[in-house]
Amino acid sequence: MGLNRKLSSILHGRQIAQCEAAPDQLSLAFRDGSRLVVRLAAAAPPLPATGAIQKVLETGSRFVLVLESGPQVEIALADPGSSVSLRDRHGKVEYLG
Amino acid sequence: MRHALLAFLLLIALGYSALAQSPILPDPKLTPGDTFPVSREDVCVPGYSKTVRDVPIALKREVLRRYGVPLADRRNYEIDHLIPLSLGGSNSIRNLWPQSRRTQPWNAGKKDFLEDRLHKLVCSGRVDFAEAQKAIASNWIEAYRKYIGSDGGTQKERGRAAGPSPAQQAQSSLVWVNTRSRAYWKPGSSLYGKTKKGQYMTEEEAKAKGFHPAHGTGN
Repeated sequence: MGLNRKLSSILHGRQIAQCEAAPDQLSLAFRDGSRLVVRLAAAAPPLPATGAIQKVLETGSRFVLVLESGPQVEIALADPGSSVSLRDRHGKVEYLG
Repeated sequence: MRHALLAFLLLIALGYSALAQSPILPDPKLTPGDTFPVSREDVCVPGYSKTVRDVPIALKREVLRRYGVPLADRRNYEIDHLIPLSLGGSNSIRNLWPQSRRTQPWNAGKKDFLEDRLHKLVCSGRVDFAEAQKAIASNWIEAYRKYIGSDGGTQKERGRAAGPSPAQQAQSSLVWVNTRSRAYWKPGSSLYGKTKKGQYMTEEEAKAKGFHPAHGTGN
């Protein structure tokens, strides 16, 4: 699966502060105040409540968050290319894809 | 000899026919348009479009496949965001279509100009954000006529939309030679003009100097 370089370079090292999973959306809040929102095609598997992001892999509708501590979480995007958004603590767009 | 000439003329006719049939407007079933959840304030921040991921090559190829464009013809098309990134358009396949670079008068250069103009109009508050998205998604040519006019815009824009300049045309007939690997690339290929060491020359000259087409085809 391909590395999402743009998102990986932004998220690398960010500590997860809170995780909220709904059937159609996953929301990860980071300790720096930024927030990642992912629209889902299917319910997300359980996510670790803590940990830091190492990298993001993405191919088609498959989206994988790899944590620095080792575990990784694969989720299915609702609409590849239009399902992921990341905003900083001030609400400014950091990434869309 | 006569058969060869006829075959050559047939090939030219087919080429012109293909250009004439180039899709001018996106298929609304394949490409209805799609947007990110962003506001006017978001897209008017300088550098906004750079926050969006590049369209993966596999997705570009899928767009070409859906529209029935042969890969060999891809250099005649630009994978265009129907609703441009600068107006909140997304990278969803529902917002992508192969737009002809060569058809006249409506082509990728013309739409790029419209996109720039609409972005300025939206960010200056003269056109509503949602209205701009809807207009360009519904019929970008009508949007062009509405927001720019049918006179073809400014001289600069006419130059962009009219197609390549003589200098550009001359360059488009050249290949890019990687003087280190000794492979050459044809216009439209991913490494054309991009390797650290290289130069432009005619394909004949490249062959004569012992260079070879990259991947066997130069594409």
